Amino acid sequence: MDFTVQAEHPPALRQALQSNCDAVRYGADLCELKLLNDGQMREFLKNLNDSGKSFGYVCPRLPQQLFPIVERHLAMINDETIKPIKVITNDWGVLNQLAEGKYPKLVPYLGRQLISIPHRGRPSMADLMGGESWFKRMAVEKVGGLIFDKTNLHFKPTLKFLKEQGVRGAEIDWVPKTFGEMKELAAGGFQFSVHLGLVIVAVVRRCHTARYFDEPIPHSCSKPCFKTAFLLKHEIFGELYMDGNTIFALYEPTAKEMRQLTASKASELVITMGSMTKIQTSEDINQRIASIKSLMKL
Amino acid sequence: MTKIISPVKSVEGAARVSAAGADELYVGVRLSGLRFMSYSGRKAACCLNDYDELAEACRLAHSYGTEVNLTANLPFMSDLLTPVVKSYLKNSIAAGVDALIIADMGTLLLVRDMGIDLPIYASSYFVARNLESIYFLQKLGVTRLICSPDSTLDEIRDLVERSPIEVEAFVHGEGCSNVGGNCYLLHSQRPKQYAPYDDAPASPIASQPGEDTSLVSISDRIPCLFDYETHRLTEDGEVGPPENIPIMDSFSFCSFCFVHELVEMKVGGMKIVGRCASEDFQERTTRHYRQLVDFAKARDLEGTKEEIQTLRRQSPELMKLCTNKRCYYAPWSGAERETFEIPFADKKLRVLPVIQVGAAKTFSTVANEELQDSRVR
Repeated sequence: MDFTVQAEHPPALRQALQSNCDAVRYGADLCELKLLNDGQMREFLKNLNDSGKSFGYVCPRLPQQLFPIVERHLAMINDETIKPIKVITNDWGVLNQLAEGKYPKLVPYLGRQLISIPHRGRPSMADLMGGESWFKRMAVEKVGGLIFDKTNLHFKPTLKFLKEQGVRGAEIDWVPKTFGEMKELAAGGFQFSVHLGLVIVAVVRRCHTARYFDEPIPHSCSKPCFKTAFLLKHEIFGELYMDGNTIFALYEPTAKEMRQLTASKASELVITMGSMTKIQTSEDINQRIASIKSLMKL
Repeated sequence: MTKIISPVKSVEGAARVSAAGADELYVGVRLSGLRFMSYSGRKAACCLNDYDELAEACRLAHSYGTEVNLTANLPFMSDLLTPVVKSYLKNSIAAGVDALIIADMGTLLLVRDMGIDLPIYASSYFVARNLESIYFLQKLGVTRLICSPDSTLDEIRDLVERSPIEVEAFVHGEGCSNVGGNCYLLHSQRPKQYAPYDDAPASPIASQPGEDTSLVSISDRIPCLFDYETHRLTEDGEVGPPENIPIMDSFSFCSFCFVHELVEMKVGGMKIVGRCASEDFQERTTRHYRQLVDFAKARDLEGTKEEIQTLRRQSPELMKLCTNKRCYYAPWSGAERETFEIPFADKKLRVLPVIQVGAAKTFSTVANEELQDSRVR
C-alpha cells in the first residue's frame, strides 16, 4: 500500500516532494476554483519523470467554462510523461474524454464524489433504518451482506461498464465498515484508495468558507481555505470540520482499522494536507506516515 | 417550449397540480414494507402509497394532458437492490408513467438492460455541468439533463444553447445549499427513542394521519439552515472562539423574477421542488409559475411585474424570501450580491438586515424556520 500525499497548490507540492511519501497527487478534487494555472502545472511537470515518486492528477467537477483548463492540463501531462499517470476525476465529462482514448498515457480513476457510500450519512442511516422490515434483514441481519457497507461500485453492471471505459480504480472515504467490501473489488483487479481519517459529509458549490470571507465566487476566490478551516458542532450531527467548500467528519485511525484496511488490499492511503489535518510540511507528512506505519505493526 | 414540472406525493396532489397548469409532474411510490426509505430520493412519506395510486395519478394527470415522471433517483445502486429496483420500475411503467428520472449510473444501466423504452431524465444528482458530461450521459440513453440547482443563469443558458439533449432547471423550493447526491446530512426524522427527543412531537411530514408516530420532527428542518457552533482553526491548528451561525446556509428558494429569462433562453423545463410539501404548496406554486410562464411567453413584462408584486403582498413568507435575497439565480456572494437589486421591487420592499460574519454579509438568518414551515402548510 502506497502512502500518497494530495497537494492542492505549489507550496504543498514542494513539501510533498521532499517527504518520504511514495506518491503525490496534484490538484483539488472538491473545488473548481482551486484549479491550477499553467505555470503551477509546469512545476508539476518538471518533476514528473525523474523525482522517483509516482504521480497523479486530480480534478473536481467542472462547469463548462472551466472545462478547457483541465483539457489543457491533460494534454500537457500526456505529452510530458513517459509512464502512465493516474487521473482521479470527479467529473463524468473528464471520464468521457479519457474513455475515448484522447489521452492514451492517462489512466482514469473515479474520485470520491462519484462514489456513494451510505455510511457517510450523519446521523447514521443504519440507526434510522434499524426498525425497517425486509430492509432490516439486509441492514442488520446480514442477509446477502450489509447494504449500508456497500458502495455504488457493488453493482456488477456498473463495475463492468466502468472497466470497459478504462477505469482502473476508485477512491473512498475513511469508512472502515466498507473496507471489507472493497476486498472483492480489489481481487477482481479494481484498485482502490482510501482517504486517511476523512469522510465527506457534504459538498457545496456556493462555498461557505468563501462566503464567510466575502470572496466574489464563482468569478474568483483568493482561497482563504488554504490557511483556515472550521470546526462545527451540532447536537444532531456531532463534531464536523469545514475545509473550503466541504464538510468532513474526521477520525483518528485505530490499529484495528489499519489491520482491516491492510487486509482489504487497498492500493493507496491518501494523506490530505491543510489546516484541518494539521499537515503542512514535509516533516508533518513524515510523522504522519511513521505513526500510521507503527499502528499497522500493532 | 418551457414546461412546468411539479412535485406530487398524493393522488390529490396529482389532480391539483395538473389542474393548476403543470405540464409534467414527478412522483415516487413507497416500497412495500418500508416506512422511511424509498427509491425515489425522498423519504417514504413523500411518495404515493402504492402502484394503484400511481395508476390513478397517471389517469388524472393524463386527462389534463400532463405527463408523469417517475422518480427512481436514489443516487445509489447495488446488487442487493436489483430485485427491488426492477420491480419498482416494472410496476410503475405498468401503472402508466411517461418518463423516468434516474440518479445512478447503475440504475441507468439496469434500465437499458431491461429494454425500457421511455424517455430517461438524468437527475441533478449526476451533477453534469459541462457538455462532455452530457455526451457521456447521452451515450447511456439519457434524453434530458436536470441541471444542478447551483447552476448559474449563464451556465444554464450556455448548456441550453449547446446541449444535444433537453435541459431542465430548478426554480422553486428547497434549493438546498449542498451539491445534490453529495450531501449526507440526513434530512431525516430522529427516532423518538433517542434522547433528548423522546418528548418531541410527531413529525408532521413523516407521520401521516393514523400512521406510526415514532419519528419526531427534530430534523424535518433542513440541516444546512441550522445554526452551528462554529470555530475558526488557524494554520497552526489553534481553535478560535465559538460563533453560533448558520454557516452552511446558502439556501435558495424562489425564481419568480427569473421566469421570463428562463423562458427566453428556451430552457426545456422548470422544476418546482416540494415532494414533501403540502398539496396546497404544490398547487399554489404550480399556478403562480404557470401564470408567469404565460406572461413570459406573451413577452408581457408588466403582467409579470404586477403578478410578482401581488404575490409579495399576499404572501408574507415570499416577502421574507425576497428581502433575504433567497433567489436561485441571484449572485452568490461579494459586492455583486450586496448590490444586487431585487427585481420587480416596489417601495414596500426593503432588504432585511443580515448577520455580519467575518467579512461577509450573506448569512441571513431571518425567517429560516418560517421558510421551512411554509412548505408544510
